[in-house]
Amino acid sequence: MDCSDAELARRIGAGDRGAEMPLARRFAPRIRLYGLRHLGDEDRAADLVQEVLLIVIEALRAGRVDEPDRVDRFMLGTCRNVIGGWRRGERRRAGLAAELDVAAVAVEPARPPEAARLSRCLHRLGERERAVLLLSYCDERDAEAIGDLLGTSAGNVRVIRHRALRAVRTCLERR
Amino acid sequence: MTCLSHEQIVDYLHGEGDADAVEAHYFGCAACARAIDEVRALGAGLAAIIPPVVSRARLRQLEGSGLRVRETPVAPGAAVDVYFTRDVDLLVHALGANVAGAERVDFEIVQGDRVLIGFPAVPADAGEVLVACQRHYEGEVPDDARFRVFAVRAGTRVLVGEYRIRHHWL
Repeated sequence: MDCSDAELARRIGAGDRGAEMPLARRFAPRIRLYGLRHLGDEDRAADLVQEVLLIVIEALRAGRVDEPDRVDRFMLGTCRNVIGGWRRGERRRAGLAAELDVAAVAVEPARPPEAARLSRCLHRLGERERAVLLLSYCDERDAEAIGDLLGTSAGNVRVIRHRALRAVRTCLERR
Repeated sequence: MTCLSHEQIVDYLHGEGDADAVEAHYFGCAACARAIDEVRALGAGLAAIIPPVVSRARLRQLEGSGLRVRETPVAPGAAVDVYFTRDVDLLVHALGANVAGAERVDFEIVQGDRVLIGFPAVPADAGEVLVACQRHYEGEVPDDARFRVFAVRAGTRVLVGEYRIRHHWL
């Protein structure tokens, strides 16, 4: 049976090196998502994954994580601190890099759907839904700007966007 | 622990909503992290598609990326035949249209009186609307379809050009 995140964290704290890679594999996708959201590109998100995993595992080994049961919170806090540090110009750490091969923690991201299928699903949407998605993703306009163009409120644009994305996902699953 | 809703995920990826709450949740929930990644990938797919109407700047960018483009100027009221041959990736119909001063330009494809598909708020450059016809549109545009461009000025939508474009897929 798989261990919980907390159990893996406790084992690392107790000196079990075999728990380190499983914990790293679990959190790498979550750290990457955080990185994509806050740093905006895959390369920097990958750097964040490495840096955060090194810091957290080092802290767990050294018994510096007060609540290993809340390792998820510690991981998130470390993400925030690392990005804050980078923005202040702090340098990246080498730390345990040689000892713990976090570069080997492969994150398998979800793949974008194939363009032709996506395009066909887009064409099956209502006019407004299609316009909101094209303006949001192809033109990178925010809800306010789209609302101005289409003569509706930003709140309504968000509602349309939710509905349209759900419809496209359903269409892709069907085909 | 209640999983994140589709709406929370979409808002988060668009920099809206309560990001702190969403992050606190998915750091402890692998299933929600996967769900966010799937919606993110869908967004990346949408951002990567070539929209049916492009700006001149976007067209230059696409040409610069190596896409083989054939452009056909089409005046309002004209009827033209276009050939999507194997040596072309993108067939661009440059629809001449007086869209000066328009606060919005709409594009639609009609058959008889029926609108087959409409695209409100499309990019429009000075005097032209660039329709980016793609190989996977084959079979979607009937031979007797007409293309229409509308300019919206002071809230009024006016037809500024109608075009007959017969596609030949080779």
